[in-house]
Amino acid sequence: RFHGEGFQEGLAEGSHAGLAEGRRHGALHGARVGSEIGSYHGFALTWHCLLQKCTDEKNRKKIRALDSLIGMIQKFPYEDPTYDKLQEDLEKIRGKFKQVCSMLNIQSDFRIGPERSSLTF
Amino acid sequence: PHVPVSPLGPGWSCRAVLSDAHTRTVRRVSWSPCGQYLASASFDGTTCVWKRQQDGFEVVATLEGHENEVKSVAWAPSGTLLATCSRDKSVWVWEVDDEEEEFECVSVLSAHTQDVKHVVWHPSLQLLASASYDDTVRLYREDDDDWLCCATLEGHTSTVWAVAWDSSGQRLVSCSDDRTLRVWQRQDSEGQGSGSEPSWKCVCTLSGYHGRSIYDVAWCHLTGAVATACGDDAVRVFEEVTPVSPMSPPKVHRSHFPAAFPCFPRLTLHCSASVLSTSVEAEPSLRNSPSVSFSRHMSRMARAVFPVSFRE
Repeated sequence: RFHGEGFQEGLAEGSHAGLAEGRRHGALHGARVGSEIGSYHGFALTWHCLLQKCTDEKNRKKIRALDSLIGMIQKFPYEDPTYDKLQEDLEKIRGKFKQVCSMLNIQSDFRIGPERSSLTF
Repeated sequence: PHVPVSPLGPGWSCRAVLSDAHTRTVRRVSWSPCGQYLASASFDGTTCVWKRQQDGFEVVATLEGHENEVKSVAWAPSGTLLATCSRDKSVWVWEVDDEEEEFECVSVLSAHTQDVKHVVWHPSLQLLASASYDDTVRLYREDDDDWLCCATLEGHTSTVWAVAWDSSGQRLVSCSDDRTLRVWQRQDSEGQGSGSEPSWKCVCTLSGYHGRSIYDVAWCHLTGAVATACGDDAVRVFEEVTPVSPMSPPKVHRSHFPAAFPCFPRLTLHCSASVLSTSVEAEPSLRNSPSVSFSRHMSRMARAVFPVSFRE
């Protein structure tokens, strides 16, 4: 009988702790994604402002790419963490950001130096 | 700079050594369709584009952006697009501005979940194929202003090292670490609307022929023969045989009798190697014996056969 009661108490306590940990983990992860996308958003809006004045063909392409990035960021479902294409859309945003950096001749931050990795083919 | 000349007489001479652009292994090179440009992909993370000059080659662009080793580079047949892929799991598509010789990144595609080994363009369409450590082949096409992954070919059970298109572009062959070759055929969407994506089905798997990983595959656009480079020190040539046996019933559904690729090489490959360079040129021999033979020199030199390509 005490075995059973002990088990129930343990289960309740464990679930409670698990829930708290889950919430912490979710909040942390959510904050990371939010801050990453937020930084891309700020970056894109700034460059969009800077390039507004230039109307030549090359800059029009850059502005189109920036618009595309801003559009993807705005469409991202912040309210729904269970969205099944969340990772996919996040990768697309990251890819678009890298492409925009390439067009603007800026190094995107996550550059690893030429380190000596093991031989690969 | 002193350029060594082959003492063997007429043959190949080294015209240029382009040594200052890359700081690590140069993994792949690709000529532009017009022949005036050469792209080189390097483990230093950059891809250089060289232009043919009177007395050599000069770098006209350095494509940066990949986070680590670039594994492959390929020019599209149109000459206006370049594709690169890397250990960073992404495939980048670059557009060339003809007049200004400027390269612009038009898309960064992160569809693969692991190291991307090889990228190859379709022979006539703007369709790109990539092979990866994640055991899949993926296809990409342009859509609006961007590129997207339009198909994922699953089936291999290990790294896909390379991919080759047939001359029509209706089929492609992939070779893998799992020692098999797979032939994929484009399936035209039947009964679906015009806006649907064509799918690809694996119509043939060749297993049991290769003793080790298959590192490269080439599909000859003239003869239809498929050649493979394998870690078991052999080059194999496969040809398609359509069943014409008198025993088979006259009306047969295609799905029951897929085209077979038996390993009966019609050609004997004679490998010759020049003394100075380690490149190998294979020519079809006039003899018709059903086995692959190597000259004694070649078998001493080769431990594994690495890239393989057909002379067009």
